[in-house]
Amino acid sequence: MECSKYRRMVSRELDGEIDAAGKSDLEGHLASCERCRSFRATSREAFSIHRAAVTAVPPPQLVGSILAAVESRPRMGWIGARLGFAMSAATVAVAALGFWIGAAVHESYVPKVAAISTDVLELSYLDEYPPGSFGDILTASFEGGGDE
Amino acid sequence: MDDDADLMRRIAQGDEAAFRALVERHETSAYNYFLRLTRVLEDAEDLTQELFVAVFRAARAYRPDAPFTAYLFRIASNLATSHLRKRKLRTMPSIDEMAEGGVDLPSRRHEDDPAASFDGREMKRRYEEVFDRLPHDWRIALELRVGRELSYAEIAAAMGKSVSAVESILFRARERIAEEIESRPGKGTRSRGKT
Repeated sequence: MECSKYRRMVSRELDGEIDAAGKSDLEGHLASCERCRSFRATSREAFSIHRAAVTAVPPPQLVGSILAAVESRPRMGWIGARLGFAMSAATVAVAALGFWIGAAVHESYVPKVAAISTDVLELSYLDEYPPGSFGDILTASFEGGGDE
Repeated sequence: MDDDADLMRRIAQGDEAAFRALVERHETSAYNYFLRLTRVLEDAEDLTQELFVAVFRAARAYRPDAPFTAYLFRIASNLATSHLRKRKLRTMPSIDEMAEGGVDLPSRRHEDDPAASFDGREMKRRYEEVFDRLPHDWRIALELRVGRELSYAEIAAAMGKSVSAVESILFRARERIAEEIESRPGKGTRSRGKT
């Protein structure tokens, strides 16, 4: 529909994305179309309102918070990343060994072995990534590269 | 003064002064971007912090193929979209209402503010209501174009869309805004001096 085409041109005109020929064509249509003139008037006013909104000043401590957040994360290079991964893998291997040992014990020893196995199998700390933990180092080293 | 690509190169080499300079250069724009979309001061602060931490982490992978602002707002838009999806938008005061209503919000008002008159304030209120109900992508595109003054190409890079898709989003957003504003009762009392 023709009016849809011209309203689209109004939108591009607001953004400075219309050439002289397009503008001339648009003005020719607007001269005879009240509906499109109304759309342009409302759109221009909306544009002005959005553009004129107050600019909030960030709190003065925000820069410091950002710098502190960056400085608090351990930054490990390639070797550190691989070391962190190797140690995490070793921890998983020890946990698996513990599980095998626990499963091989006689039923009369189950309560004692179950307690040991539970302690060995408690891996939730890897999910928490407290600063300086293997999980945190691993995450910090593998995140970022190629991130947008 | 170093340009953004130079600062990113230095940040990748561990230059903290370069990172501080980059943050100070773009902090206000990023903060206002998030504040416009979330309307919550604490969320805008948190997202701004997340943004620059992400920029710092990704400094080594940064390539100056596109303007830095497109890169910055690509990350910002991803953060904003993720945040907005997690929470349903509450009815929040506009930034101007926050500044006028006693909320401690240091701000600068533009000289050509159309809200100086009663009709202007009413129009602004209507606009804010309609804006808040737009789909996330539409609000992001409008804020990047009108608020942050990015070009269509920069917005396309920031949103991961084609230029024609960005143009289409902006048009549909403006059409919706005009329809909703013009369909509201009391519109007839608004002065129509502008054309």
